[in-house]
Amino acid sequence: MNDPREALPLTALTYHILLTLADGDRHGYGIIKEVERRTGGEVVIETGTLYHAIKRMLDEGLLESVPSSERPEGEDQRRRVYRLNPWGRKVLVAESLRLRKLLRVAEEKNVIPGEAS
Amino acid sequence: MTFHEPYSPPRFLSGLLWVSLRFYPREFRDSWSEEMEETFFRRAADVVMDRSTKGLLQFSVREFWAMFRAGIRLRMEGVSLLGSGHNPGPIRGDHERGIRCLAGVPADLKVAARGLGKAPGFTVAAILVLALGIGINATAFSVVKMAVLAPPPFPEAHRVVMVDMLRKDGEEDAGRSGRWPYPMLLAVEELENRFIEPLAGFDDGTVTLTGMGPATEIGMEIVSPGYFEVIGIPFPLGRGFTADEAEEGGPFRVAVVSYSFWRGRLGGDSSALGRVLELSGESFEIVGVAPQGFAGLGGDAELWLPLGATAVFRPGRRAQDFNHQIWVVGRLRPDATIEAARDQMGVIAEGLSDRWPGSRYGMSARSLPEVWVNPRAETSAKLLAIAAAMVLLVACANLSGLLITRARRRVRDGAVRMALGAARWRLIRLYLVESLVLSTLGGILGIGLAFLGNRGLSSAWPDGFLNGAGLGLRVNDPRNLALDGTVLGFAFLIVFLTAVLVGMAPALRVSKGDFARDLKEGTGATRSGKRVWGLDTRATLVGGQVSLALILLIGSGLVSKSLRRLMTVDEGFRTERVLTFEYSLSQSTPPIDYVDNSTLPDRITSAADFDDRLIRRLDALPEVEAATVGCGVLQGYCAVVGVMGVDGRRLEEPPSIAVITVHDRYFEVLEIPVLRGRGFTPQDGLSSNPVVVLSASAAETYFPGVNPVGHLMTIEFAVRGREQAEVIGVVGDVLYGPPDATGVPVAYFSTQERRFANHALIRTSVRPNVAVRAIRSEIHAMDPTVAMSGIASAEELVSRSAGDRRIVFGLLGLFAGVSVLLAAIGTWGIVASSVTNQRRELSLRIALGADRRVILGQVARDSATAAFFGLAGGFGGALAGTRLLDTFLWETSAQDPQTYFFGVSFLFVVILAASYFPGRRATRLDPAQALKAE
Repeated sequence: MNDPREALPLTALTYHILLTLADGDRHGYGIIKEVERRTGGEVVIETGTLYHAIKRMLDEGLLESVPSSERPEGEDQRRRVYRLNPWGRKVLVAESLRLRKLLRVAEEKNVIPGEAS
Repeated sequence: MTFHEPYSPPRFLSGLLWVSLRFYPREFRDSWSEEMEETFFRRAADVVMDRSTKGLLQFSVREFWAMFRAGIRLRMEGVSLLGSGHNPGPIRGDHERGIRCLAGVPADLKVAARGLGKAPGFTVAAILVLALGIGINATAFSVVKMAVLAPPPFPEAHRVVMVDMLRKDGEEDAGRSGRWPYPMLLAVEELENRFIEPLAGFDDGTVTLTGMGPATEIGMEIVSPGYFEVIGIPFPLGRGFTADEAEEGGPFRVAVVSYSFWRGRLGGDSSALGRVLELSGESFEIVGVAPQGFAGLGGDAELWLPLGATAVFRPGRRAQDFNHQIWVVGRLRPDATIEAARDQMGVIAEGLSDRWPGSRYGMSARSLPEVWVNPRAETSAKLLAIAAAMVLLVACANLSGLLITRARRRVRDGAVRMALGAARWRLIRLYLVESLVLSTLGGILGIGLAFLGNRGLSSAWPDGFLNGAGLGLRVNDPRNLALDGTVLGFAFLIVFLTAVLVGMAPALRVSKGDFARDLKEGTGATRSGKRVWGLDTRATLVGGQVSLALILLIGSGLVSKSLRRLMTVDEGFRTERVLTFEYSLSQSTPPIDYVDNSTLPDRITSAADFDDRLIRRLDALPEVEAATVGCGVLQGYCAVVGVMGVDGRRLEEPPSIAVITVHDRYFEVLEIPVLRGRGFTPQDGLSSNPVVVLSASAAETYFPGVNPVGHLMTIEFAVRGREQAEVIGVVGDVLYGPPDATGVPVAYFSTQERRFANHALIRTSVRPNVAVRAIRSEIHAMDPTVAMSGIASAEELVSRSAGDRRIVFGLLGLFAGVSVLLAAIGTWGIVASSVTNQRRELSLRIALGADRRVILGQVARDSATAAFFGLAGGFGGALAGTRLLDTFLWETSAQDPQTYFFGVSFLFVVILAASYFPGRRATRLDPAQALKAE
């Protein structure tokens, strides 16, 4: 699987998690809080759903957990911190481009107003 | 990222999480549960901080549902991935697919809720029945967990061993096994290279605490230095004891207090160290605080003193080879096995017998988890659990019957659905969802009931269950009865199980039906269905209920009969209006040292003088008829010792005899008959010849067929030089222990000669509990340093001695009552519905002039057959199952015909009544009206 487009489309949950990790590493609780904040409380991920997704994304090689040696001193070591790996970033970019294309179509058909106008 | 202060979540959340995590496959749980737990609780903390309780509930439901869904899907994926090697799987889709697979459930839920809402009477009845079943089972499970499953609360508990002292032949010796004489412990402690290291002894007792409010008797343990090391839990404050403090000449005036003593009486801060406690007139400095929740291995200690304190509280005891006084525990060395340790203790005992040629005892060791479970408590817990499961089965069968009736009424509804193309499994699922809704609601209510049940049980849990197999270990603390995660998980499991049990029968029954015919015949076509032995499903269910109810009924009948027998046992003394309590001797009275012969006479005389003064003052009270002093009645013996010889002839294997020391008016006050010779007089004492009074059974044992008065007995427990005593009398046998325990022959000595426990026994002129106040203030006025404890009337002691049977009887009786009621309701139900269903036929028959009895017979046919099979099955089941009850029966056969007869006939009458009343309706049918209604 060298072409990230083969992995598309992503579920909303996967996309949210990838997006959240795009600008920094986070642990599970951090991901939930960030998604909640960013969407104004519209998307709340349950603990069970999140870890199921994280496990799947780790298996699929989209994420990796940050080795404890790279984590700051004093941080609770029980808590794993997750980071986007290069493949995950590629998939995220590909999905974002795909979504942009779709939105363009919606704009052209005047379903939603275009950004420029 | 913000960090929250440590937050302690509501307990139910831990339970919920525990249960939810069980949905996940084990491999997933192993690597993720810790992290999920952390995240879960941080989110719960957020919810608590910014939302209401409603938010927390919403949060819990969402989280539970998400974990359930994810867990089930992971399990399904796990199965499908097996053997296919690494499969990255699709990134998309599965989130949606999972939802689709459960898509119909919310709709089903709505249908189920609407259906249940339309039949509120049925719904409420069903929920109550289930709540009762689930509540009883959750309670029973918490009892089993406390009594059987909970491990000893010490680190590496499997290495903690109880070191026993048994007879050389390995037999237990009533009243003497287990405890060691002090000198043996001291000798074994000195040996090197033991497999059991550290080794420690504890001697439980009480001391009088003064100088902190009114004088009180508090539990204490005199322990050797290794004791707290054996326990293995670190101290919150201060230290344990040193080797120096174990010496009688050493700096032993130090004490460790319990956590609750420290918090409750000393303010709970570090200034408590160094404070001085006044204990029975002696000063002890506090050097440590024991771990929270620890009340000593004896279970009653608030205070620990070093072994050196024997100098003041057990004078002379360290030199007594014969007095089995101290329990011994230890920790197995990491490289040793319990077998090796046991063998080594055997060898050590052999070696010691050189130093103690008269020693008849060997040593052995058992691991703590092995002796931890009190067999009696274990049996009752298991019995309770089985009985509870039976009640749940009855409840399920009952509800299943109700649902079948409902299903039949809705048979046309199902047929229409199927005719319109509803898949058969969708119909089954609808019924299962309905029963799941019922059982969940029932479960929630049931957990509430279990909460109350646990509260009730922990206050009623009999003391007799607390002592671990008589080893001096108090293990089952009723405070441990709690609805924790495990219990909640168990409750959830039962809810699911019940849902399936209850829902399956009607679901299969309906989905199998011939829907074309059902459509045609509608609600009238209800006598179809498969029959087994002439019984349809519902009648079979009723038969099952009757069986189980009969088993429970007979079981409780048997226990109640034993209880009645126990209550009528002759105690051998007057129990009416007799008050007993233990008192501490005045601080001006020196403790008695049996070894130091030079001070002994003075000390015994001063104690006896104190008794006399006490008795005189109490006698003067108008509430008191007569007062005396001795060992407690019904609470065990003063001591159990060996009989060394009879009439100067030595006995090789000295048999055991119990010792009771009594004041001269003891037999008179308690109305114990003097059968031969005489009782004691104030002249019997250290200044006259040694004398002894025997119980009738002791006389029979040692002097069969002859009058023992005037003969001589040599009894081990004695002041040196006074071992041989003349028998002056024989008195009637008295119960000193529980009525069902094997009694030991008793030898009575005068308190003027030797004494152990100080119990006052008072015949009152008013009700004993009314007299307490006057007696207490009289004693306080006489000497404020004297503490009273264990105040009870003799009648209370008698009823307490049957405590465990009482609780078993109470619960079995309750369960039996519930299941008889349910069986009656079930019977009523089938007769009533048989009337409704055959209305047309019955009306015709009545119109044609049929006899009423024939009509009654026709509608009651099903219930009569069900009852017949049910009673027969229950009878057989009871015969097979009551063997479990053996422990709780006393002088009652497990096949007692009277009880069986009573059980069967009682249930028969109940079923008859339950059939008759609805059946009577059939005979009153108005043919014209019934036919019109069609």
